[in-house]
Amino acid sequence: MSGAHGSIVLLEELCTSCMICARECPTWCISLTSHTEKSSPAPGARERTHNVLDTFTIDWALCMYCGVCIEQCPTDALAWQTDSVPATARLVDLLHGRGRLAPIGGDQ
Amino acid sequence: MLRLRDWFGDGSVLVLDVPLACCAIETQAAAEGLPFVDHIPEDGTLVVTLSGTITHAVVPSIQLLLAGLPRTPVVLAFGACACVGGPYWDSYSVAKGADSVGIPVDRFIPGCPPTPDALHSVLQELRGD
Amino acid sequence: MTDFEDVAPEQWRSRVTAARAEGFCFLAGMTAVDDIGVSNHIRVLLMLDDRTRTSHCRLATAVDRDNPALEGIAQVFRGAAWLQRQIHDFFGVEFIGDDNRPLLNHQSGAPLRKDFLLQPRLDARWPGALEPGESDASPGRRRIVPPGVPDVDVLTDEDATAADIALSAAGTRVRRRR
Repeated sequence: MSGAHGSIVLLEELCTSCMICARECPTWCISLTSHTEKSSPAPGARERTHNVLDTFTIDWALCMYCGVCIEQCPTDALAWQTDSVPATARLVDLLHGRGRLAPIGGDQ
Repeated sequence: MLRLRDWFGDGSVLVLDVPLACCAIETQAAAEGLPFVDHIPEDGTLVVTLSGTITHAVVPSIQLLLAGLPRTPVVLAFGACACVGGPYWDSYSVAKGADSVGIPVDRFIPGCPPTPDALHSVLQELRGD
Repeated sequence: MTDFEDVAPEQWRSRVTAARAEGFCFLAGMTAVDDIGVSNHIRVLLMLDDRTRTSHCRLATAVDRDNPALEGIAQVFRGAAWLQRQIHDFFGVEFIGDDNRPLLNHQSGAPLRKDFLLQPRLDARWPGALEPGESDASPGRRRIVPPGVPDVDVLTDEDATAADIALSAAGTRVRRRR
């Protein structure tokens, strides 16, 4: 049994790599990198640039589970889930990348 | 004199809590009602939980405590502060986690604070060893 | 809410003694504030109550930040001894005639002064320093800094004053005078 606020998941299809979560996090436990890509939405339309997420990591050892990242994300790409992060034998194993941060079984 | 919690009531896991800060509220809630013993059975596992922020000032006391135990314990860093200094990692007075000051840690339990269940899970796992 | 009465530092002990004689015999608290950025002072605050705790006397005095010395009042209120040592630990104020030994802070520096920087914060790589669309910090680009870290121009400026550092660490843009 875990609390309603066990840990945080990333819905990466909603992430625009805006950096707000990493900047607002009080303990600096969120790291993300991205790059830009160009696309043209319709034939003859002006080419535009968008961000593509590369890496997204939460250091669960440092996270204080405050939820500021969830509140501040402008696209609701971060959400609570009930499962807590399990204990590990090594600190480095508490760094979870985008694969491990995906919600279990798809949508909440 | 040792004051250990016989966690499962069968002498398998004996827990000594080092209450340092708010995490101790959770470890002590987890231990509520469990019996105390003052010795470790031959085949019991001694566990020490570091529950809370480790300031530089308190490090010698923790080291003295660990050195005075009758056997080498399994050390659990319970919560963000014991793991990496928690939200106080940038403080002039706080150690960035137990292992940063030379205390060997066997399990890092994330949380701020972790739930009593998080401790139960780890102790359950240790009992199975 | 009682306002603080400003007291000149030279009159501190006599004013506190008079306050006690007036009936404010309960030491409710004593602390300090670093006024850097507003004025070059450390403001020492004293909160006294009457015996019933319903009437309050609030006294404040400002000592020079670069030479912070103030008459100690531990002879008037014995409880002030601990609080004065704490103020000394965190603001560097010396209480003349009283105990100034370290109590909680046994390292150098005055950690609650606003120009006291947290070194781990300066040394650590802030994940938020990257811009959207970046994967690594490209050199030469002006980076935003997190709270508690002064702008790099201020940090590297030899002429930066304590006020410049404190304001920059708090996020205020410091205007450089040429």
